[in-house]
Parts: sequence; C-alpha cells; structure tokens
Amino acid sequence: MSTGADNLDDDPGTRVNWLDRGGILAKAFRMTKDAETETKSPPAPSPTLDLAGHAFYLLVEDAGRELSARLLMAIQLAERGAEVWIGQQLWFAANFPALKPGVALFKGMNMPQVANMRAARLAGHRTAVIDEELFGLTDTSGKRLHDHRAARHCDLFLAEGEHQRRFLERDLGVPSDQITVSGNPRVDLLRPPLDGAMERAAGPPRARMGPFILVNTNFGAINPHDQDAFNYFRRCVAIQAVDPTAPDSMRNFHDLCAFETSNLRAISSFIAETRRLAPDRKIVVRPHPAENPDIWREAHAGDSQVVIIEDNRHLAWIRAADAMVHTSCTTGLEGYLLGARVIGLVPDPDSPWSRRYLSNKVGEIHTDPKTAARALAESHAAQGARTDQIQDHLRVNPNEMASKSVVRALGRLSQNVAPTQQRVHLGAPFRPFRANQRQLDQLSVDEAEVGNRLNALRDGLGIDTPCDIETIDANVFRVFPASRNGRQ
Amino acid sequence: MSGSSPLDWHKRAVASARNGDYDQAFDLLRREILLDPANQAALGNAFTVSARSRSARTAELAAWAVRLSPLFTPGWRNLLSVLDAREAPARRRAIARHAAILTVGNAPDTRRIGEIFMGLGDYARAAQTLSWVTVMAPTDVALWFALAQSRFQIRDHRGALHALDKARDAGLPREQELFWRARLLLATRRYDEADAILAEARRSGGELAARCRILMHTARLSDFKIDSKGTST
Repeated sequence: MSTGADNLDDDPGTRVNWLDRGGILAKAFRMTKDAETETKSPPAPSPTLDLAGHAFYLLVEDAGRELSARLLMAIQLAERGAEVWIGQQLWFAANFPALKPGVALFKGMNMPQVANMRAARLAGHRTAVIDEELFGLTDTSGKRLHDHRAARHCDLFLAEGEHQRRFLERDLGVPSDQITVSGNPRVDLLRPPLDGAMERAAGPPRARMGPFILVNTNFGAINPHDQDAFNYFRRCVAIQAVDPTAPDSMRNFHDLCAFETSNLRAISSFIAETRRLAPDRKIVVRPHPAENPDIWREAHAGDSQVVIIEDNRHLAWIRAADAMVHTSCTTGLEGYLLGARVIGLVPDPDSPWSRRYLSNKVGEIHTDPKTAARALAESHAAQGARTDQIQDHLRVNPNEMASKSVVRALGRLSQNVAPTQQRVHLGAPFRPFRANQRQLDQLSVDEAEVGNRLNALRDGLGIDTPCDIETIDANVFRVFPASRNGRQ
Repeated sequence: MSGSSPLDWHKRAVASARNGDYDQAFDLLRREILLDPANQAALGNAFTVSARSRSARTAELAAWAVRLSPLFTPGWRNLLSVLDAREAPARRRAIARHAAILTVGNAPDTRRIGEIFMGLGDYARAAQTLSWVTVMAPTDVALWFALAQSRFQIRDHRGALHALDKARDAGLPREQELFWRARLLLATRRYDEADAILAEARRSGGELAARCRILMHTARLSDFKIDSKGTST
C-alpha cells in the first residue's frame, strides 16, 4: 500500500493497476510517463530529497473544497523536513514580501490570482498552480478562467490530466517543461486509504438525518449569494471571466444563465416527483456555497420532508446519503469517485454547458426529472467507479496519490528558490488581513480543526512522523516537523 | 534679502502659476512647505498647481501633504480626489477611514468616501457613512443614489427603496431609477411590479435593456416551487 511516505522518486508506472480492467489506464500511464520523461524537467532530486529549510505556501480560498487536500500535501512536505504555511490566500497576497522565499501554490489562474503570482515572484518566491476552478470541467470555453499572463508569472502548472496539459500548451503558451500532469489531490481523499476518514465524517449527518437522498445544487449565477444575476455578472467582469464588450463572451454568459434556469426547474420538479413517489424518504437539499440558501428555505418552508442544509463538509454528506442527485455539479464527480450512488439530471444534454461537466459523463444520467425520480425510488446499488472514460481529463493513478506527485514537483521547484535567502522570515509581525463575511463563510477554521483534519489524514496515510501546528493569524497556520520548534 | 523669504516665494509661486509655469511654482511652494510643514496655504496651492499641471506626482503630493500635516482637512480632500481605484484596497480603506473623521459633515467629501467604501465592497460602512450627511444635503442626487445602492447590497431593502425615492425626487435619471427599482422589487419578491418596470426598461433599448436582460436571469421563487407536473405552484 502506498502511504505517501515513500521516496519522492518512487516509480508509479511499475505497479499493478487494480482499476484498469481493459488495460486502457496502463496505456495512459505509459503515455503520461513518457510525456513526463520527454519534458525538460529540472534535474530529478535524489531519492532521499531533504526539504529541510524549504518553505511552501499553500493558498486556500474555500475550506470545504481545498483545505484537506492542501493539508495532505502539507503532511508529506513536513515529513521531508519542510515548513508549510497554509491558509487564507489573501493573507498571503498581503504578506509575500515578508515571507522568506519559498514555493507558493495557487488555486487558480484568473486575473486576481495571476496578479498575486506576480507579487509573489517579485518577493522572491516561486509560483505553482493547481486550477481548482477546472476540477471536473471538460473544457474551459464557458467563462474565461485564465489570465493569458499566467505563463509569464507561474513557474509550475500542475495539470489534472492530459487534456489540461494540451490546453495549457496550446491556449496559454505554457512551455511543456513547466507542466506536470499530476491529477488533483482532492481525488486522494475519495480513495483508499483515505476514504475511511470520510466514512467516519459521515457519522454525524447520518445520525442527524437518518436515511436520506442528497440533492446538491449548482445555481451560483441565477441564485447567487449576493442577491441577483447582475451582481454575479459584475463579479465575473471584475475577474475578467466575462468580457462585456465581446459578443461571444456575453452569449456564453446568457447561455450559462439559461442552462442554470433549466436545471433549477428540473431539480425542483424532481424534488416534487420524489415527494410524490416516496413520501417517507427524506430529501436533503444542499445549495452550492455560492448560492443564496434563503430562497430554498422559503420555497420549502413547512415541508418536513425537505431539509435545507448549509455545510461545507460536502463529502461527508455525500458519503452519508443513500443517493446523491446533482445538476451538472462537480460534487457528482466526487460522489462517483467516492463510490456513492450518483444520479445526474441533465435536462438539456446537447447544451455546451452540459457537456462541460465531467460529472455528466459518470454515474446514472437522466434527462427527465420524473424518470430520475422513478429510478431513485427503485432500489439500486452504486455503480463501481471506473475512471477510464475520464482519464484524459482527470488523471487517477491507482498506484500513486496525486498529492505525492504534486509534492514531488513542488520539491523540485523549491530547489530553484535562491538559497541565500532561505533562512529568515523578514516581516513578522505580518500585515493583518480582514476577511469579509463571504470570505469567512468560505474559510473559517481554527487550529483545533486543522489539527483534527491533519491527524485524520496522517492516520489514514499511516504516517508516524509527528508534525506541529502554529497559528500565524486568523485562518493562517504553519505546519512543521515536530523537532523544529519556533519560527525561523 | 529680497526674494528669499517664504512670503516672497509664495508670491512668486502664485505669479508663476498664473503665467502657466507650474514647475517653477511647485518648486517654490515645495521650499515653503519644507520650512513649515503646517503651512496650509502652501500645501493647498501646491496641490492645485500640481493638479493643474496634470502632473503624475499629484497623487504623490497629496499623500505627502497629509503625512506632513495630518490634521489639514483640505489635504485629505485632495487626497480623496486623486485616490485611484488601482490603489491597494488596504490603503484605500485606511485613507477613507481617516478622511471620514476629518471631513465629517461635508456632503461631497462624505459621498466620495462612501463611494470609496463601495468600491472596496464594504457596503455596510458605505451606507453608514453616506447616511450621516443626508440631513445636510437632502437634495444631493448622487448621495441618495449611492446610499440606495449600498443599502441594497446589505439587504436593507426598505432603506434602499426610501433612498431611491429620495434620489428620484432629487432628479435621478429615469433609466438609473428603473434598473435599481427593478433590482429591489426582485429582491423583495414583488415580481409583477418588477416585470412591469423591466418591460419598460427593455423597451428603452441600449445599455439599460442589456443590463435588464442580465437581471432577468435571476431565479424566482416560483422556479423553486414546481410540482411533479412541472408547473409552478
């Protein structure tokens, strides 16, 4: 069993592939491996690469989405002697000049992210990115999620699959030696040996709800947390995801809204039909964190069968549910990889927006809400997760965790940080960052919670090497090997 | 010696500025300020000269002036007037908060400060700041309109509607009123009234129609309450 505690240079391609029934995956691995070999990567580190004295900054926007995956990397980096700072991305943006030069891992490539990459580089850091906005998307043409300057300000692109690698090379002009196809560490949390932690996390939702069907919604454009579609539009324009002067961009925006409206009506109809067919089954609706949950509560006020929850531990809820229903939501993909029964409701399968979601390629897919409700009312077991049809988009290596591949690449990149500057943090006390309510909703954790998550992950990985946590500021933590006390 | 006293510098600076020699004027005023950082007349004139010359150093000068003389209210006013949206948010916030203390009661300054907070997305502080001066400037259209927008963003819909009515009474252009009234009506689930306004707005064409088209995508309560036959309940 791979524990993540192995050497950085373990060879994933030589192991037995337990998921690959048709040999497709093995072929994909060979191709991936060949592609990696072909690229002009920096010199490979020695098998016992020591990262002592190296600093890594793992920036987080949304705790529900990224924090555990980042902690998984933090454990593996700390195990090699590195110190890892993890937390609120905007705190780091304000403090890059005060931090000793290291490797900063960003979560996206849009305009604000790239501006912060530039700031990090100017302060002597190296920059890397895993694009969390792309997780579970099959193409990037809907909204502009990338700033074309990313290639200039980012040193390392961690691609989820070959498809993304091609996109980075072709559309953003990223040199191939700056790309590593790593998969996404979020997938590690859904697979052995770490999925046991998810089973434990599912206990409280199960105890609270009993048996239930989970409906995960995704209507952040037409039901945004900040009241109306115009505010969502303004936010898209501000980060240059939508160009109001470009007809194509505006058409895409209107299509997105029409797509969401169609999905919303379908899911509402599905809920009504499920209530009719199975009046004794509890339906838990979990609006997307970017949505306004109040209108859901208003719509189902006084209905004891439908419960609206706001909880960013979405994986625990998926694991606890009898089945999960979604309308083109990334959680459909996560649920599928987690082994849950996943039903995708796709009222307009020919819409380009429907085709953009990887979640619409896995699990049970229905175009009609009534058919979906009937299928759900019948008893079905979850389909076993097969990853061959999504491999091009999302590399899932059964022999190696994605986080390990990421750690290896980050470790290599850290060798390029100027060594003369690696010893001292320059600016403590740091500039404070005052989060607004929205930012607090997305990321608000204390040291105890970070510690609990960290311990659960270490137990899952079977890592014994102790590491400590220090709170630097609100939602910013430092994880370091236990033998190394205090701030350097 | 004739021509070497601060008063003389000041006179020569004013004369130079009148003749369009802003560089000369600025240098003389700078000398005067270095001798006496609290010389408010010199600070004010230096800023004016700099602004008239469209100098790139205008913003720098404004910041310098408030550092030298932090209780000089017009200095803060100058700094507010040149504060750029590209400035770092933390700096914009700090300047707006300092200026708010010194310029309290002055409607144009307060409106500008409120707009800075709005630009920072701090709508609660913007609404609070703007509401301070509505009594002193009851017919300031821009003030009421900014207040309506801020209150909308913090979901004080009743307060926003009141401010929007005041802005309309003070002469807010119909197009701007329609759009924001439609937003308020949608947010308060008064869909029939909102639809009537949106229909009128869309007939007018142009940018207003385009904005209303975006707004109309907003989900309505009926979209969440659909029966098993697909009909809204």
